[in-house]
Amino acid sequence: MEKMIKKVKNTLIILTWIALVILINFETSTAQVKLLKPKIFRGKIILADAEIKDVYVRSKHSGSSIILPDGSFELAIKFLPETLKFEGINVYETVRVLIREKDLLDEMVIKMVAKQRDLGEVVVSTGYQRVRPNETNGDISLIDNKSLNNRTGTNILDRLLGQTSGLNVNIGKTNANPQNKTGISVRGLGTINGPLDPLIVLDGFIYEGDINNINPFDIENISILKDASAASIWGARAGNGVIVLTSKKARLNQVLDISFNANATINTLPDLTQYPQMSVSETIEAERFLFDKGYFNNRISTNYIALTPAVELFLSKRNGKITDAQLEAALDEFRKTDINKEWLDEFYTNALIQQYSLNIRSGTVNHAFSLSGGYDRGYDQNYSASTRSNLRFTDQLKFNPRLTLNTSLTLTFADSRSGRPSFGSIREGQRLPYRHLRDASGNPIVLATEYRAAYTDTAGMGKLLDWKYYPTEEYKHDVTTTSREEILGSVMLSYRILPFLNVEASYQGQRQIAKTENLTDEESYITRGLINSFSQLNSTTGLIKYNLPRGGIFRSDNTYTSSSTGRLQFNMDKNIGVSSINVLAGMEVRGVKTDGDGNVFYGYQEDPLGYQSADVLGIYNHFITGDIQQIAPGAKITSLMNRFVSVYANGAYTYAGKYRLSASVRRDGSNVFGASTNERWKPLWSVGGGWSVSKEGFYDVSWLPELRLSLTYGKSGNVDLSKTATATAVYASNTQSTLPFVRVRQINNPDLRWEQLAQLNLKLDFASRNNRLRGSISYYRKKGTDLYGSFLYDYTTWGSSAELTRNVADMEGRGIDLELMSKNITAQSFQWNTSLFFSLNKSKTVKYYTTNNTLTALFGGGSQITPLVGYPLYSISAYKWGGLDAKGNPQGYVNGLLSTNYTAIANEARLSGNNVRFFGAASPVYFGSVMNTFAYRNLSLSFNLNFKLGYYATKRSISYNALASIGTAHPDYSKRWQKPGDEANTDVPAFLYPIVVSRDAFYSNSEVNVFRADNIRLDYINLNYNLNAQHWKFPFRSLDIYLNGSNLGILWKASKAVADPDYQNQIGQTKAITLGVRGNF
Amino acid sequence: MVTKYFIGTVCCTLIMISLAGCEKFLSVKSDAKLLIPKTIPDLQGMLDDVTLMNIARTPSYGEASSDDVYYPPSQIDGGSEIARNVYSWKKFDYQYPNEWATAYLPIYNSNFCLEGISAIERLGTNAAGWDNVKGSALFFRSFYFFLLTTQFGLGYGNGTSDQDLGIVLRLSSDFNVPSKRSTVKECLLQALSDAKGAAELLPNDPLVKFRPSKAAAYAQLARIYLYMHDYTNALYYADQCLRIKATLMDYNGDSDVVGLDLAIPFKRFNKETIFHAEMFAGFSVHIPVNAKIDPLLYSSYEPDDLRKRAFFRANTGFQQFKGSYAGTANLFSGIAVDEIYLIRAECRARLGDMDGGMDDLNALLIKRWKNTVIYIPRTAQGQNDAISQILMERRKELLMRGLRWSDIKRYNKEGAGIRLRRVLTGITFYLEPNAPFYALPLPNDIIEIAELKQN
Repeated sequence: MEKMIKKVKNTLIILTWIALVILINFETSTAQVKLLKPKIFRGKIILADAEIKDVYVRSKHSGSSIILPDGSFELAIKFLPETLKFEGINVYETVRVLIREKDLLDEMVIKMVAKQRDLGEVVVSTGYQRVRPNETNGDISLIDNKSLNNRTGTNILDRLLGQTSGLNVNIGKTNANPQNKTGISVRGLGTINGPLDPLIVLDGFIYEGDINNINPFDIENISILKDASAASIWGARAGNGVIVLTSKKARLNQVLDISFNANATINTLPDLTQYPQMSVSETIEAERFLFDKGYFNNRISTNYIALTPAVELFLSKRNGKITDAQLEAALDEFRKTDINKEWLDEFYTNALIQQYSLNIRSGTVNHAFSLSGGYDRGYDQNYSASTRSNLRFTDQLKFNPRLTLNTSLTLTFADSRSGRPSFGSIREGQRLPYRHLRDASGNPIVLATEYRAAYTDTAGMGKLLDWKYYPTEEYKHDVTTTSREEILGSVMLSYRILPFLNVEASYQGQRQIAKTENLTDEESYITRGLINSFSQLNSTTGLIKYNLPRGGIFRSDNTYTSSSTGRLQFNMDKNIGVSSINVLAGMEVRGVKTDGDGNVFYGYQEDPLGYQSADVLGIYNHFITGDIQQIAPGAKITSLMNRFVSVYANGAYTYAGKYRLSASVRRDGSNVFGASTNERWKPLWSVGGGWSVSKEGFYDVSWLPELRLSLTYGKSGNVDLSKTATATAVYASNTQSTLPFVRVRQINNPDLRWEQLAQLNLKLDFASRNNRLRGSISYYRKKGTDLYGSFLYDYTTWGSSAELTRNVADMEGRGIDLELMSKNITAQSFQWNTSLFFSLNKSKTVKYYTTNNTLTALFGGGSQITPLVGYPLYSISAYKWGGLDAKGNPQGYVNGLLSTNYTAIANEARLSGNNVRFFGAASPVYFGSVMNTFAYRNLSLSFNLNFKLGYYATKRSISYNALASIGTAHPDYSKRWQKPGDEANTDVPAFLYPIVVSRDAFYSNSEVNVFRADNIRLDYINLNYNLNAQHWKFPFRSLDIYLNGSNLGILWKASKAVADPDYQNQIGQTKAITLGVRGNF
Repeated sequence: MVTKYFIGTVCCTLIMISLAGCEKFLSVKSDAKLLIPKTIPDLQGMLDDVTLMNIARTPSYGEASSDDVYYPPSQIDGGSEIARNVYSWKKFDYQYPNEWATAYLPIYNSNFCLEGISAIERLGTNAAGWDNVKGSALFFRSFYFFLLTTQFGLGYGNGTSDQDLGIVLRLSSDFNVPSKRSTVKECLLQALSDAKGAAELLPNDPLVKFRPSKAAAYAQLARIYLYMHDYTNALYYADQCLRIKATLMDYNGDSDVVGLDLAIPFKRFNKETIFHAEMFAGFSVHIPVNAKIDPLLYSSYEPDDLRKRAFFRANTGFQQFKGSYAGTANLFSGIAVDEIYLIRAECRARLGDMDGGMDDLNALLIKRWKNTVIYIPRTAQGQNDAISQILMERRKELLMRGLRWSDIKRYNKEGAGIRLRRVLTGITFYLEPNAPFYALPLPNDIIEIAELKQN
């Protein structure tokens, strides 16, 4: 059977080869004939959006002629076949061939394309081809350079927000899939457990480097491919949309242009109260309460586990070492601490970023080049410093009219250095410290992070290294640096075989080295503590033996990524009568290799450089706990290789410039380990149709001169390379057994298939007269089938996990994307433009197999995708709330009656869900932005409002279990039920001991904590002043000074429950002010 | 013109050739560390994965339910809901992760290796490796089947064991084979036959104590026969084991004793250890830092008994256990020589050889006695006294090794009438001898998914 398939396949390959060879060679194999008498040939040129001026038709044998402004021309033809070439300074050259006499009878209609000029011309890129938006059926949004400059910052993707429709940045969502890095979603979700990131393409090739390597000032524009027809050309990884970045390049015949930008961004200090915490005074009282109940006895009994300072005092009091008065005096000292202020003073600053860039472009008739450099430096709010340098060179060389060579080379160097600790990262006695960080005279104080000082001071008999933690000193001795170097180069050779057929061979190579180095010197607590824990003290002789070498500890971690892509592509562009055919076909081979290594050096010293070897196999007892432990060996090595082979084709047929049919097909193969051949290959396709209604003869709506309708449908896919169909294992070693071992990572799962995503897109483009109002509206439906889902299985069979991944889920999404650009006032000295981007996105699970199919699955604040049939993928439900009872206990419902039996409440919820209420989506259903720009003479002002509507969030209120175990408590603590009667005024339960975890869980998942998260933000304000630099002596062509304020805060929110619904329990965005200058000469 | 044809033809040819060659291009491994285990070293590697096969693996629900664990009311009343449910022998719903899953993982590895090894021909050149893989896989399967049976099945005896439900005997790695519960008797017989197979194949001494050995397989057989009240066979296999390995540590000053008063008194892989395994944290109720030892049991250790120092330390007015052979705060639940001495002593006494039994007991106890005072060898007044002395020492020596729960079940099947008592929030709970709860409840998600019968 297999042999037969192979035979058939080989035959097919040979037949295709023969067909292609014939097709290519057939066209030119006719002989030339002289006509008896010259014949007048008439034709018409259609040139949309441009004036017909200085356009000529030239022929090989019959002379040439100018084309009239109305587009008509005539030419006396003397020979057949004859080649006609249409050319002009502002149009792309077009060639037509006349073969038979019959061809001369009809009038020829030729659609020409105006050349892209410096400004104004809109061309979107799919990565494989550049098309004008009205010449494709695909739904593609373009974000031009001006829009990209509206936002500031060092990351290019951050500049997309609010500049297009359908694109949302998810905040506060967690997803276990390690392939999700950007948090960006295009048109919602297309998968449940697969990768969620859109594909990033830079200058026609998938970008595998770190997105932070890209200098935003090098990017000319960004196209976002939204529908299946646009994205399916990118194949298996395009299911989540494609973001195509196009960098700045020089053009032929371009005058020398030098442009520059310099700006500085400063941020406000973070608001630490966004990390809600009850007051120090309340913390101490809660600790006193727990201490009296014996909660800390277990910790105290070990003698060494760290306690909070208040608990230490309570203990001293209990042991009779201090009096009541002394205790209260000491506690009062803690109560005076303003934790937020202390942390801000000690560890926080105003973040500052400086960005500089310079770009030189020039072009002659057959050669163009650009050279750009960028340099960014700065530090964040925790003093973590970073720099980035970019150097980029592109070159276009036209050897002759047929052969062009494009090359580019980019170098990136980026470095960073760790700063100071962030709020809450240091704990004392497992809790947030509430002591002053320095004493009255400014000296560092000691925090008991792990062990009690009283224990470490005596146990070591003074022989150990200092075992104390100094919060204000530690970061100086524990420094992590990262560095990235990337080289990215590409070559493209383009050759015109025939007037209408072009072949491109291109290659891109990329290599990135990312290094992370961490040095904890011997002054650091982490190193001192580790050396101490491995030390052995002879209590009779007092001699100490350091089993871990003294000195610093140096850890290195290196990742080497290299990728190569080779592509061979044929482009055909042919007009036959009033029809035009545009076909591209090609194949691509891609390999991505990621190697990693790392090491740990003990006894490390920088000057003179050296380290000591450590005994990683020896077994030692921990100095304090006595547990056996081994020195971590730290050496590691990894090697990953992903390979892809794709063949693709894309074709469009246009009739009379009115009707367009398009189709694309692509087949992807990848080296999924353990997969059979069938699973390695995946065919994907799309079809589309477009109708330019406004070009019909019957169309006479004069106020709307442009109206176009397009409909596309196609299939893209998702493949998660970590999921395989065979039992695969990894090889590793274990220092305890000193033996290598093999671990099954995935058990055999032979039914696993690729995910399928089908998308239907209906789009309407329109423009009023003079483009006063221009825009598009799209309606789309997405249907994901065979999606990966966790399948609860009988884990008796394996035991390593409660769930297996299978193709168990289906989902549906639908939405509307609306983009409107209006010119409200277009007076000479005053202009007012408005852009509106509106998106509606709804998604729901259609099919899912799980035993837990009640609303309880949607508890948990909606931070994770939770598939439940009929509900949105991110959504929220909560227990129905029955108020507090007379003892301050929260009440739910069992069988419709009030109850405080939390087990019964949870059981009813799990079995029937009758006592649970569904709220809605946990991610915005309606979102978008409104941007207004006002220009008065040389001054322009723009501001952008972002809105997110139609979703819910859960307030993370108090958990008494967290209060007891880690001291984390919401300020709601002060509103808690304290005495009978309080239940009338509050919903916050009483603090009871012993702590009932199920009571906490009921309260946190109850509807009192659910609120509407809708909000409108002032995203940025941009003020730009254009200096009349042309009139200066110094030859500036333009010079702009701009001031930008971003993340300016919430203007409106639906609920007052929390300060910022999108950033709960974390320090949210801080306001950023940018001042900059840009210009060119 | 000729060049035009030439270039076109070459391009087409290139595309077609590369298409034909891409199957090979795509057959490169995506991660250099990946493999599909097939060879003897691969399979041995799966059995050497100690974090899945030995460490934090053995079930602990039984230990938490036994009478060695004691909680002062002040502590358990403020404990977690789960702890209170477990402590009061209340049947409650619990799901993954749990010890059912934890213990079935090494069984999956064993089955995978047994299937893998049967596909490899045993030759003169690979015999040692082949035997070790198959023997080890059989041993691990027997070890975990038996421990699961003692926990989730009722005690053996009284003629109902061929109807009482035991555990799921999974004998294949195929997850499409549905799970069903076998009877207690079938489970024990499977554990016996696996252990017998292992004993024939394994070497006397293992390379590391994480690996099973012939001595471990004999010890395993002695354990199972003892649980089945088959004292003749238990005696035979205990004796076979001790012929290979019979060294005891002298607590007075052995090179493997780090210091009796230390938090971790014994070295890992000390000379008494036959096979190293550690207990799963489970519901955390039995974890030494939480659990206190029954004060009555603690007071039964005599002052000159070094175990009183080595095994206990004071914790909030009570005693907690610290005498694990694991070399960490984790509990040792493997097989050690002291247990086999006690099995042989018990079997000898039960079979009428009282002196032999007492000799074994004294051989063990003298190593536990302070050497500055004279050890007076124990004597017995009749068979019952011998047995009861041995059983008392069994409890005191093998404290917190996961054995007490199965011992209570065995003794009660013989009519010992041990009635467990615990106090929680002022209420006294009793667990009657041979109560149905001695077959502990299975995780409820497994009951739902695999449609098994709950205990």
